[in-house]
Amino acid sequence: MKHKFGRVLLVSTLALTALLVSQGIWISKASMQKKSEQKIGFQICFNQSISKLVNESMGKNLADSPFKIEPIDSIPAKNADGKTPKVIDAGHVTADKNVSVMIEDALIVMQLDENEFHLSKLDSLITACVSENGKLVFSDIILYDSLHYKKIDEIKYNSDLFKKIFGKTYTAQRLIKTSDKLYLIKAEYRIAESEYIQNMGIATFASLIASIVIISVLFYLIIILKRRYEEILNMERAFHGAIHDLKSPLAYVYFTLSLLEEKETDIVKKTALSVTADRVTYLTDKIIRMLKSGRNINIINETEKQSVSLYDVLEQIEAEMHTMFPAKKIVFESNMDAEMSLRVLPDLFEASIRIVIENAVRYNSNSPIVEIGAIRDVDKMRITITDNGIGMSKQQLKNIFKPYYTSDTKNGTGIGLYYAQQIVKAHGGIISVESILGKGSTFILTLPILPKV
Amino acid sequence: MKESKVKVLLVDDDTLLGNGVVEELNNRGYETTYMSATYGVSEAIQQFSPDVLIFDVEIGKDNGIQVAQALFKGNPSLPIIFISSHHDDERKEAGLQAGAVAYIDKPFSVKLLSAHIDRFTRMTKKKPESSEQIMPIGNIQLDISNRALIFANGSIVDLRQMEFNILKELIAHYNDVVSRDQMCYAAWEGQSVYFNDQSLNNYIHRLRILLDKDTDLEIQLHRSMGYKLKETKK
Repeated sequence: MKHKFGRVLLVSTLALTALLVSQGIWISKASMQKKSEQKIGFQICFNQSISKLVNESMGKNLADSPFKIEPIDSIPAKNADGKTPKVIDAGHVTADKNVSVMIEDALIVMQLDENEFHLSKLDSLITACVSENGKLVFSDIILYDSLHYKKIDEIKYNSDLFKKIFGKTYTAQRLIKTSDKLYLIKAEYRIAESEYIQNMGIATFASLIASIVIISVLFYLIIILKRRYEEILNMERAFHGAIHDLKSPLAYVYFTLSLLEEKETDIVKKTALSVTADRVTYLTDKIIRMLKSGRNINIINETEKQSVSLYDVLEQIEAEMHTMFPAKKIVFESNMDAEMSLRVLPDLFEASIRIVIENAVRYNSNSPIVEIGAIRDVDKMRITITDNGIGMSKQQLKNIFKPYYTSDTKNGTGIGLYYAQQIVKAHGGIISVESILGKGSTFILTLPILPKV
Repeated sequence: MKESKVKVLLVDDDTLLGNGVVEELNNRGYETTYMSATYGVSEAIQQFSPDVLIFDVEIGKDNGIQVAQALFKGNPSLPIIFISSHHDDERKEAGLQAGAVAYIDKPFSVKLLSAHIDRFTRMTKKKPESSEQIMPIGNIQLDISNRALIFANGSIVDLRQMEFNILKELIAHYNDVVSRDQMCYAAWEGQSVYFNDQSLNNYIHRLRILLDKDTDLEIQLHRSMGYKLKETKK
């Protein structure tokens, strides 16, 4: 019972965890796909923005162009207008260099030299294309002079904190290199997650909370159950203790009785004392069986059955009847082999026989005659108990084995014969009754002798 | 007064029963010391050096079996007899494994207890005078002084007076037929007014059940002649 609590908890925790994990995997897969798409998009956006910025500084046609690309040794010391031309050495063209990138770099360097390069323009260009993917929540673009380890310019934007939590950061950088200059543009942009992903995140969070709540409730219930279980166990222990305490006075009674019996010389008194001492043993056994029981009467284990002598059982009950009804002159007539025995649960079997015999004596005149017979068949024993009592009407016969049915509202509980029937049934037997009103009744108990296979 | 009385140490928390047992054992010639708690038992064993220790399995909240186990380790030659109102087999098993020589269910009679005590002190003390008190037959022994039947496995059964008388008569005429009249005479000790055929049948029936388990003896019916106690044919 105790172990079950743990299992219930474990299984439900596992189930909820599995649910959460699968949900998490699904969401992360969905968002990962989106992010990788966005990542590529950002790199393109960054590069195109730089190119766009550079292109803006170029003229519409060749004559407008403020710069010329010429080999460095063919540049005159003075221009036609007498001014010294501004020269940017883009470096040597080699197979592994992209000429357009070299030119772009040279142009950027030129703009930088003339303070014409506006980082804010680049930022707005990047922001423009990034905003297509989602709301910009944070941006930081920095221009470094890598040769002198100096930050030249920085533009930063920061929106509220909450949006930052559900956002994704994209970074890109560009090294601008000429033969004598080295610049670095570093960009970091953070875009709020799309509504879809955001909602999924909230859903996961909500289900996590729900799971925690469910698990806590389970925990709470299990703690309560455990406490109840302990309480019941304690009650049972107290009950057992109380029953157990009944045994010690009995031990003393038996001890004293056996002592008196031993010392008694009168053979009749001696026998009476030994029978009384036996009754105490019987009572002790009964208490022990009570301690062990609490079981369902409908199920009787074959291993619990014991061989019981029918004669012994009857002797015991007959003696009890004489004591119970001292005013009645009871005659027991037995018609059976003295050594008949059968495998039953001793106390239950005895109880069923006692109920029938007690009824036979109780609902009778002051001189009851109870005839008890037993016939052994191949696989069953038939025990008949016939009395010369008041008998039963057809109506009574119909209801006799029903629980709480009784025609004796003063003394009867209506449970006796019902209980007897339950016992016989549990042993795999049948109990039946024949009766004539005013003449007496015959109860027939048929019990199997061979164990069930 | 005998030179050496059998010394018994009884430990039981039921003082009413305990005192009764002590008084009765002392009346029967044992020297009995009584303790109502497990505290100080091992010291008492040192001081008193009992021949037999009788121990209640459940004293207060102590587990007597565990206490006895410790005592047994300290005194391996001391026979320990458990008495208990717990009749479950597991506990008996545990008790006997802990080193006890016998396990007696409560309630018990003082006869049964002294039969158990005698069984062990006979082994250790070898008192010659006590041998007359025992009638060995087959693999069982009839304890005359304690009116008990001792089985080969050491278990002892308290016999009723009638059963005892009948069995004694049968043992006295071992392998001979004993007539029903003879048996009645023995059972009721000659008081013929009480002779009762049905009761005799019942006592014989009980004796047969007793002899049926763990003995090599049986009571055989010889029609119209009587009964014969003989060895069971294998």
